Amino acid sequence: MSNNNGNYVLQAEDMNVYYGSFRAVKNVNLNIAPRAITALIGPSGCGKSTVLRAFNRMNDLVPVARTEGAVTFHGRNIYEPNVDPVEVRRRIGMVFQKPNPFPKSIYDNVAWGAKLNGFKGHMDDLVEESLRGAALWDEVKDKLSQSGLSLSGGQQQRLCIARAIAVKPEVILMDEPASALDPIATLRIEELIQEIKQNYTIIIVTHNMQQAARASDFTAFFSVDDHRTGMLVEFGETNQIFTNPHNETTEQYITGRFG
Amino acid sequence: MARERYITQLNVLRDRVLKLGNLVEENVVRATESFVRRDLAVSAELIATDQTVNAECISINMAILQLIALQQPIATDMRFLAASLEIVDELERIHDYIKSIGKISTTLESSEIDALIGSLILQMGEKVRYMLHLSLDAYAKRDADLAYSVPAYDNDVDKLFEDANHRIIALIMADSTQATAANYVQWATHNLERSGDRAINICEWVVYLVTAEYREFDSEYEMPRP
Repeated sequence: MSNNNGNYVLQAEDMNVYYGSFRAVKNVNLNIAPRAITALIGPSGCGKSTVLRAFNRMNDLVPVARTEGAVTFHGRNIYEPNVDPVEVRRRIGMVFQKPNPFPKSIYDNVAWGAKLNGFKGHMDDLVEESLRGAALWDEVKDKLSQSGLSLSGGQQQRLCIARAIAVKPEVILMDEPASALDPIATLRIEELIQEIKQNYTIIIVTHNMQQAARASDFTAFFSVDDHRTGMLVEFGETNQIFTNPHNETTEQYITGRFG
Repeated sequence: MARERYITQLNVLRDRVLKLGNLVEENVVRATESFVRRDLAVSAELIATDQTVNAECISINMAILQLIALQQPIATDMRFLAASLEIVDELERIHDYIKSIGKISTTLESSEIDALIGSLILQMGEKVRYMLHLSLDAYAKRDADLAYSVPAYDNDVDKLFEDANHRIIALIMADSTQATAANYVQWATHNLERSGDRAINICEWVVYLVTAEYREFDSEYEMPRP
């Protein structure tokens, strides 16, 4: 299956995700632009995290989950039978809500993924480059052998971002990456996301609408129908969504009239 | 509704702008009537009222800035607050014109106003009041079509302004000792003409509020060639 017009990295095409018999999201069509930040927003239960996880087949890890339709990555459907989900997740990385460094050294946290992928280059260089990319190098360069768990919450999340970029993905999925952080650490993560979008395509799920407004280029607003099934209501440039949403439901949600 | 207190604050703010607008609307007519009828007490009162209007404008603007800082409004709410800031500024400037007419009136002391000019000024005052009324109505109802209808009335104001100017020049030519007083009267008519333009500015912000697009209306007074 290949109908990529060449401009998008990822495309959801008539995507439906089921958990058992429950349809969690329906008929999602969404195009993700390269080297840009796309925010997924919407009330709890609208399926935005489900959509995010569908972009790198993380839902496969949920036994009852089933995805219909297609998610194409550079035009190829990642749900085709001969596609290796591990390779999909290497090229489409993920950063989670709660920082989850391994109980290993800062160095090993970053090097781990690359080692697993058979990285043959100079590991010290890769670790430094990744930590610099995550704006953490200056803070940790003298204590690389200390445990990743010794860092503050904001530093741990940047370590997770360094770990994600060490395996050279094209896309980084972020599921509320700053929701467990204090406001200053949150702003640092937002700044970091702005910096790394020069090299990566980023999709971020956030409950914080101001964060979506501040930090993203495009915004997709999801809501639920009468069956509590999530659906994409409106997608557009972030500036348009937050100044002049075209859909009444979007307007009602972002201005706090519902949700 | 998730943000009831915030929605109430927005509504309270709108009502404050409308209340201020009503006062300015009334004072346009009071300014022209007191000017023509030589009621210097009312003229003096209008000059004094300007301070109250200025204070209220500042107070409303501070309330808007506070809402922006504390509630992070977006979409229509953000446009409403941005438009309200501008509209309050326009109302403040219109009341400056009202004060200026009051000052001219007191400067002229007991001089009589020519009957034709007086009639034209009263008509201008009524037209401007009506334009302002429609502008504020459009703001309250968030009605872009109504806002678009207002500039047509400005042509009437401009025509009255021109007629008044012709009469003023004729009076000066007939009796040059009247030149200073006539010049003052001309300033009063100019203030009214500018007030009409300011009402149109309000409409431009109403259109922005409703459509998210700011478009300048063509309201400039074209000076006739000598």
